[in-house]
Amino acid sequence: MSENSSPQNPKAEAEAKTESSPSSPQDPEQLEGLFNLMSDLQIALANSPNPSKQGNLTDKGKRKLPPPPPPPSLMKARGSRQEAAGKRQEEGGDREELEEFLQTSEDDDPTPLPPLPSALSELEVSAQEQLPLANPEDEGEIVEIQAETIAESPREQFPSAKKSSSLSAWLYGEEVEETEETVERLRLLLLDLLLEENLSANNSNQEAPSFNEATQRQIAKIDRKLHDPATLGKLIFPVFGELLRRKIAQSPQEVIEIFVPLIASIVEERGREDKAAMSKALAGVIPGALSKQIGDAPDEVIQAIAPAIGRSIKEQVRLDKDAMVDALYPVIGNTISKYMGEIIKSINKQVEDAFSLQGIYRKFRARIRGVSEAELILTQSVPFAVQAAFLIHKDSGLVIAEAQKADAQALEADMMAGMLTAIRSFASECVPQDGKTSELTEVDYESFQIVMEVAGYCYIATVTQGEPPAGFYTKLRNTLSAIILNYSYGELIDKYNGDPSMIPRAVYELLESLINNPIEEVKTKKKRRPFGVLAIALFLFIFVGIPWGFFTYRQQVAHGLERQVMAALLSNSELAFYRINAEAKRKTVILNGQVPSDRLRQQAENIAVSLAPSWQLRNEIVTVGLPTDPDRLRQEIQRQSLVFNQLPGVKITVRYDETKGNVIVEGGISQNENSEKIAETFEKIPGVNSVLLTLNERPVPSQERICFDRGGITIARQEINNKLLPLADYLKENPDLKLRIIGHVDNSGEAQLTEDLAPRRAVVVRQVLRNAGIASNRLETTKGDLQLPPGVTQNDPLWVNRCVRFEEVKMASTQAN
Amino acid sequence: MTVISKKMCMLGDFGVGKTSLIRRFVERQFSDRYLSTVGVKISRKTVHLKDVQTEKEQELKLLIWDIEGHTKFKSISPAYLQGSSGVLVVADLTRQETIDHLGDRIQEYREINPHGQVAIALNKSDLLEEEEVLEMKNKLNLPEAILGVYNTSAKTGNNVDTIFQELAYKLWLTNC
Ligand SMILES: Nc1nc2c(ncn2[C@@H]2O[C@H](COP(=O)(O)OP(=O)(O)OP(=O)(O)O)[C@@H](O)[C@H]2O)c(=O)[nH]1
Ligand SMILES: [Mg+2]
Repeated sequence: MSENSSPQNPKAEAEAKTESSPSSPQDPEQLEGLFNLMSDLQIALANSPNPSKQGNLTDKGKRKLPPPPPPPSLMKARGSRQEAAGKRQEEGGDREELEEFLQTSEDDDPTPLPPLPSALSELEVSAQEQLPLANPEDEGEIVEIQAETIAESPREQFPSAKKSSSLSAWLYGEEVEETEETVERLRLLLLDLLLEENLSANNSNQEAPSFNEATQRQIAKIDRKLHDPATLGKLIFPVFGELLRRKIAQSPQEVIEIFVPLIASIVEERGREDKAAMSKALAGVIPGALSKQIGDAPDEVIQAIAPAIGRSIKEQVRLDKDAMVDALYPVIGNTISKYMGEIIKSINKQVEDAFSLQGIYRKFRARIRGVSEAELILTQSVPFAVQAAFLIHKDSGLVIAEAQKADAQALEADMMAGMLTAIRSFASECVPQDGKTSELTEVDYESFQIVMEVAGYCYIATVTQGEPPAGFYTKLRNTLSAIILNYSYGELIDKYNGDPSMIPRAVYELLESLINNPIEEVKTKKKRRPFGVLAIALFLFIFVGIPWGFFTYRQQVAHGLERQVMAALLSNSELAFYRINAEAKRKTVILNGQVPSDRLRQQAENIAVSLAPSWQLRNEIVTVGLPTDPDRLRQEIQRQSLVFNQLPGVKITVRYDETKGNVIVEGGISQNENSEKIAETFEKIPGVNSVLLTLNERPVPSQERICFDRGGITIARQEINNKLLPLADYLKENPDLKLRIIGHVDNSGEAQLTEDLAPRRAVVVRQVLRNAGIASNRLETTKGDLQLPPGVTQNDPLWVNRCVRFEEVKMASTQAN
Repeated sequence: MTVISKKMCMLGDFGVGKTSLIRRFVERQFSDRYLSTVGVKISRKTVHLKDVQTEKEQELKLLIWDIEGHTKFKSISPAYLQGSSGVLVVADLTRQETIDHLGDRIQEYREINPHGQVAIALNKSDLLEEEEVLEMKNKLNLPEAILGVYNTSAKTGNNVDTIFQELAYKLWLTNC
């Protein structure tokens, strides 16, 4: 195998690789089969093809793609085979077929293309070029076997195999299925490979081995094996990956051509088999692919997805409306909220006075005015007002005449008119409507809108608040018509020269009327009512009106009760904060709303029951962790902290962190149980998530000691502020307390420095407390204590000795003393 | 005495100093920063006029439409020019092409307002020597019926009030 191991031979390389690589996916058994076959073929090598058949084959092989270019080893082998040719004259049909294969692997042009690619490319060319060559008459038997084996082969592996039972079609290459071709090709390829190996191995054998019957059978066997797709598949499987890899490396285009027709059906088939796996495989690439495509050819993508977008939105709305609303809110939020506000307002009102007198009155008015009831409801929910009206020259944007509400801040007419005119020309230029000129008629702001009515040379712009009723548009149109008809003569408006004094007074009056009386009253035509109508009306009154009246009365009672319950709920300090709704109908009071605790829920129920004892009660209040009103929450927290600060020894400040719902308590307390009480109390406040206590275990002020400099009797400022003043407060809070003030000196001989140092220190402290407003009879000084203060040892620093300490004395006990 | 309102426009290539001239005239300010105008901005200033011959006086409110500058790629919307009584066509003395375009700008304006008053401002005169400015002015080849050509500077204020005042005066007299 010396030639094969030469590095120029890619196949040798690949083989070496597959054999040496332990991670190669080859099944050892299959490898063995391959080797067995190879050794079998070693004998067959002696049966090199008859060179006389070569020409024959090349004629027919005109459809063939570039043939397998023989590797060096093969070239050499060719010589040896030709030598042996003469001896193989009388060989059997089955042997001839093998010869065919051998020939195909070496015929045609000698262009030194690498062997593997050609073998692969042959996969594409159907077997029809080769099989018919193997004389069908001679080989009937083998062909039959082959057909059988294919028919028996598992379908999953060769799905189209069953079609091969159409033997003649298969034999003559008509409509041969791709799979069959592929199998056949692979078979050839394999043979090619094996042959090569054997040839090179046999190359050294100068003498061709003698031929015998056993060999012939062997060949037949091999051949059958090779025709059996299953066996072939087994054989080819381990090397197939490598073959493909190399082919792709050498001529990717060819491989692509081979696979392209298959890819779509592969994907489809796989998708049908296992959707999840396919989705998983594709999921990784699709977003990337999509964004790439959007970058490269956005129009295509748009065209592809546009038809689906409407439906996707619909579907998404069906699935999760809230998500959709959330997504769109930043864009249309204002519009929606404004719209919803209006709708809700009007609906509330409608519900409220559906059967009230007001409702009837409105119906009545609607009839008189000739406006729809709905419109009237809307008008009533948002008060409509006209802030200003301008008559503007259309071209120049100059204000011809103006009228503004007297009580409001005046609008800058010139600037507004100018900008409006600019916007109008901009808008009409940007939105060309196939030849037609379109006019801007409304500019909508958050809290007001500009409604315009446009004529030929001028337009009226009105600044309005609230939803304009239909009557206003009528009024606007009528006003503009009146101006044009009456005053647009003599180019007064058409060629307005900027001099407002030229404009007749009446124009101003017309604009003023727009503000003061913005809604046109439409006169309904009076119809002559036949007498029958009266009869019907009477009938209606008796059979509909009276029951309806009773119903209305009951409604009134229910409304009254509702209001009563609501008022009671609102006046309850704890419930007032939560929006609880009371509804009374059909002898039942329904409460709904949200409160943070069951206790409050019950409380609301009790209130309702007490007010309507004869009514049923349905309590639909839910208890939830409500987001509480931070202001109220703060108030409550402050209130509680005040309560705590009343306690002796408690000095805390409380903050509320709105973002986290935390209450932060800082300060000092003297008793540990207080801290628990504090935490508990604040935690109970609805809306508080947690309480952070950062409290110093502060001693009661009377436990503090006042320190002095060596030999000194002056009290440091911070000692007064931090200890004595709190102590004074403490005494004021506990009026039945007396203090015994005891001075100390350190044991370094300080007492010798100044006379009576300890009692004098006590007196100074007493003076400070007296100055802070503590009665002197509550402050008792002692002679001083030359012992160490309690709790202080010899090892402590000297300065802790130089102090004044206090002892609490109950008033009663002193009196007893 | 009623105040008469007049619409006038500023025309010219981008960056020649239209906005700056208005700013100097109306707000008495100047900035080196360049903020290109988009669309149109309207400013307003009332000027007091007096006819020396007739002793007549008049308050005139100028509504000045500062229109975005012409660029190679975008010409302005003619709708902005409609109904204006006068125009101040501006060029930048330091950019010859803006001076070359003056004729086109005037033409453009006249198509919409055949009787409008036209004044020309050769702006940024502070960047050139006086002789250079004069030379430039003499080279100008402009159609007749131009109210006047002024070398202006929004930076120093040179001729800014004059040119607006002159234009306003003319608008009042012709009253169109
Ligand atoms: N030195 C100097 N610079 C000026 C003068 N007038 C304007 N500039 C500068 O030129 C630049 C452009 O000025 P703008 O007034 O914005 O020009 P414009 O014509 O309004 O530009 P567009 O809005 O794009 O049409 C700014 O940086 C100004 O500071 C001037 O008289 N002298
Ligand atoms: Mg500008």
